[in-house]
Amino acid sequence: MSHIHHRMLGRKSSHRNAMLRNLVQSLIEHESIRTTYPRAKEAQRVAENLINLARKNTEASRNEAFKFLYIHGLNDKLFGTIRERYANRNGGFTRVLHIEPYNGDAAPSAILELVDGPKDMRFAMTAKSVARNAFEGTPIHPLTKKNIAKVTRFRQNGEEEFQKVVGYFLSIFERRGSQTRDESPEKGITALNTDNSQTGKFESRVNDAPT
Amino acid sequence: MATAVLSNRGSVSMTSLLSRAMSSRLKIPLLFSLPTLTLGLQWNTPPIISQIWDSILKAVPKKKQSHSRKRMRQLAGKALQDVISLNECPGCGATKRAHHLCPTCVDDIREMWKAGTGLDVKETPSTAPSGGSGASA
Repeated sequence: MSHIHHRMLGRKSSHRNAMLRNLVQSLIEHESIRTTYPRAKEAQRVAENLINLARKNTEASRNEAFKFLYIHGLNDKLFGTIRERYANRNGGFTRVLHIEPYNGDAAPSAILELVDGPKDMRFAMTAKSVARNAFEGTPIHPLTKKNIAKVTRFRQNGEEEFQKVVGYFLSIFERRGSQTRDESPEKGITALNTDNSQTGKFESRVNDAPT
Repeated sequence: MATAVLSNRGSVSMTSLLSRAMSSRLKIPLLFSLPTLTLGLQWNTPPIISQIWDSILKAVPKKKQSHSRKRMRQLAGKALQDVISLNECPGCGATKRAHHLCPTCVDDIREMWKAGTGLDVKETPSTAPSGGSGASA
């Protein structure tokens, strides 16, 4: 079947189309979905086409897009926030990222997400690595620098939002760091204390500790 | 044994014929009877004897090979490959697969989204545990 340029996904045409419509609808609804890698790649094509219809925003394209989504309420979102978000982008509205298999059958899995949306995994991941560098005092990797540029380039208030997420992860790193620093000198005692706190004797431990 | 088998099969006339032919050709004396007769029969009737001979004696396995041995033989050289395409995760420093996201970082980011995209949640996670640690210290 070398002349067919898409995956069959083990389904007949009607079933496959229905599945892809469902996947893309979930993507529009939740901004980020987790499926197998082949399904994500196929849904990506369909999603890009749908978003392009929204960007055109003519009578014809609107009719075409309205035929696609099962939940008609999502059309407002598609022609509202999503159309505005990608007004200056000529393609590449979605992104597929490999993740570890999450299903029992160990199928290659992926995240399909809307770029620059509220659930942009690469945006958050880049922010986390920047936060780690700041916490450990290490220089930022060149690849991370490239990702920062990519991730903040088209996003509205990209730099500010990025710094906010970096701040969030920095606070988490500091919290974890302080916890390990507190626990490290008195390992045996902390082990006992955690047992006490689990059984509800936290108060008595606090009172005993200074004496 | 071969003669016995032949006589059982009722081919007496054939043995007599053969013996007569042999004696006429090789000029064997009468004293020299039984062993040479069997030899002569083997030489002159190869198809029947060889068929019987094959059916009687053949090299076969003595025991059924166990499931374990069979699987070991068939899976020889088909062991799982080691995963060597590994990276250090930039977000947490753990080892992860190359070109794949680190699962712990993905979980962390999801938690952030659940807590409210991490935009206005900056205060709450830092204050709550610091208060706890302050009380213990």
